[in-house]
Amino acid sequence: MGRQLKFNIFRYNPEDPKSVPHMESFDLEETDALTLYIALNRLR
Amino acid sequence: MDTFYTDLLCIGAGLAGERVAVEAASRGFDSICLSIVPPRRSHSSAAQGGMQAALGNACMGEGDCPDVHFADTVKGSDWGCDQEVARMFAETAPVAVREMAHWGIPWNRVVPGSGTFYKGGKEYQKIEKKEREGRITARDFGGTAKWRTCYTSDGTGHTLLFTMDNQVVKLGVKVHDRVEAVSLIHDDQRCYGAVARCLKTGKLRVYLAKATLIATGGYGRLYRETTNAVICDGSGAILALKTGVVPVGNPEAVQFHPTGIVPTSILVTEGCRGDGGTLKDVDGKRFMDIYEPDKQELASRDVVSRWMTHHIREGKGVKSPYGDHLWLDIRHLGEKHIKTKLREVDEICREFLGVDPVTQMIPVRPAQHYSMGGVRTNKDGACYGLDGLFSAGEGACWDMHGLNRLGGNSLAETIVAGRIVGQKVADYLDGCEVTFNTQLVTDFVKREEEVISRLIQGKDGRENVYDVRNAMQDVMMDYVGIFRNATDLRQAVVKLQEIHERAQKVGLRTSSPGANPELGMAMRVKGMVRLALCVAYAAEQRTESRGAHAREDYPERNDRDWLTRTLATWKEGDDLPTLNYEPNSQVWEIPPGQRGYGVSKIIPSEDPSVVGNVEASKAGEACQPQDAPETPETN
Ligand SMILES: Cc1cc2nc3c(=O)[nH]c(=O)nc-3n(C[C@H](O)[C@H](O)[C@H](O)COP(=O)(O)OP(=O)(O)OC[C@H]3O[C@@H](n4cnc5c(N)ncnc54)[C@H](O)[C@@H]3O)c2cc1C
Repeated sequence: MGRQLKFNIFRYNPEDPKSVPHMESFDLEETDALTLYIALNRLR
Repeated sequence: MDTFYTDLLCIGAGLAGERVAVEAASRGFDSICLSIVPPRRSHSSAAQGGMQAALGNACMGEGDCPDVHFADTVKGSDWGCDQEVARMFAETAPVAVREMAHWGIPWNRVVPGSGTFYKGGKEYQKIEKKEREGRITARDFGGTAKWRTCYTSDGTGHTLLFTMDNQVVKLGVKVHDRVEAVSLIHDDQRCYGAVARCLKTGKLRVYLAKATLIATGGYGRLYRETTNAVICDGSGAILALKTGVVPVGNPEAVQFHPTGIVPTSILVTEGCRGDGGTLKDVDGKRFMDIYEPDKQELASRDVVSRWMTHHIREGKGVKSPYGDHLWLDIRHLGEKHIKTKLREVDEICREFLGVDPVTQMIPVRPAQHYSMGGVRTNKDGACYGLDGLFSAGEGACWDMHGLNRLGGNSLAETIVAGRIVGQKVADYLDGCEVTFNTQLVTDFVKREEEVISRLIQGKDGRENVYDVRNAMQDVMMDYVGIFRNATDLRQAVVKLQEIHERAQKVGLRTSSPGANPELGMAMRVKGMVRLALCVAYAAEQRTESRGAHAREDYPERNDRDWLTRTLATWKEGDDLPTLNYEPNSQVWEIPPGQRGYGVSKIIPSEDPSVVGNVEASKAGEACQPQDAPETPETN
């Protein structure tokens, strides 16, 4: 088992008047040769 | 509604789109290029290895000329190309390369004196001549009789695109980036521009143009494992299918590249093998020398990819959490070579894999790489079906590649076709006047507004768009890959038809305004599934093996029945494309023959207009130098 990674991501949509800037956390287990690209795709 | 008028609308700001715009602009026409990403981020910039042009400056390219380049291209295409186009291409490539030098490309140059090079893991000597010092040099790529691939280190696409974009800026071509064309405006006779969506604000806008060009690149993202960027989703072909009248040529012609790294499928260039890198299996043993004793690692890329898949199926792959893979070994090329001539490979391995290629082997396996098929055009780049619509680059089926493209021939195509088609577009624009029917424009805009509002409100259902896309990518990977057969392809078509149903029922989870990638994907996904159906169905119908299209149940190349090009159109309401066929070439300068690599069973053509000309067949042989060993294809 790989490490448990925690991603803190800043979320805000300037086009949406209702959107309030905030941070959101996501958890992911690390695999070999994990890049940010692969991680973000998985989170999505 | 924001509305823009222009002489030429280029959908796409990669090398092909920009080269056409440059030609039109230098003849005084107003041009706008659209791009999903900033233009210099277009996929062209990812090309590494180089572009082919028969300059014959390097000592290993001596005696090269457009005749030999033409012969290699026709062979590479497995006689599936349009020979008139391939001929025009080979003749123009040297001019285009020098023109790019004039615009500022720092091509690698001949350095006189002796040097070493590797082939199949063995070291050889070569001596570059003093009198050629400083001329544009070339490296070896697969499927070529001569060293013909001009390069700037391993960042050729990068330098080409940045230089081209400088010309774009200089000539005042406007680039609207982060804008995605979503449908062509047309009346079944003529194209008048496009409806597009601004990806920053999410708003629709209209572009009205006297001439419209599709230069949107390939459709790699129909597959799960691809070396293509995330924006290479085949929008151009989708725009064409959406018209119902503009056909996509040879959609089944999809090339796999032997060396995508595992897991991201980022490409490491064929230059690795061209420069002498070898492929190894789980036991650390080479295998290409057994399957292809002659060309070994440098057989054409369809051939190498197939043998790799075969070898993995034999249980010789290396196990990993991301599936089985093989090794690419470039360690023997040495640190200096790797850190200069394969600089980008070094970077990719270290940054994306944590592997140092100087001391470690690179995990690789075949991945989808290039789309030979695309929006069908005639030799002038004019699309079938609609007047005022043109296409160039990977997004087009101009058709110099037939069923397989040689590495280094696609960068060359973008520049050469861009130049030739650009001239034809400018000729077309000369004195051209159009009347725009505002009702027609409004109708097309309304159609898209309706699509968006249905998706946001979930009027047709609540299918998750990413589930639909993933299902499609899995089917393409599992059933429409490197080896194909009737059972798999039938399954693929049936499954894709189900997915097509689901694609009509997509509804959004997030309806936030502005940049909404889910909405973008939802607007695209039905078209992508349709294009995937074109690929799968056309592959099922083509009962032969030619180039990259390898049928296990029809292993022979069938020149008697299949010297044809598939033309796929889509009638609204159908759940399959309509397929028509046309002869793949009008001119047979080189009659069909043996490629000299790969599978060689052939059912000969009986058509005298194809094989009849014995004189020509001799000419074809004559321009193929006997002593030159051939090499595999590259990027
Ligand atoms: C990793 C890799 C390495 C390669 N290396 C080589 C090599 O060494 N030698 C070689 O000859 N070839 C190589 N190729 C192939 C070659 O790079 C491409 O075929 C070529 O660059 C395609 O150029 P293009 O202008 O047709 O398309 P692209 O450069 O892909 O440009 C497409 C443009 O269209 C835009 N676009 C797409 N859809 C829309 C839409 N709906 N609305 C608005 N804009 C849109 C995009 O934003 C982009 O600007 C390589 C390919 C890959 C993937």
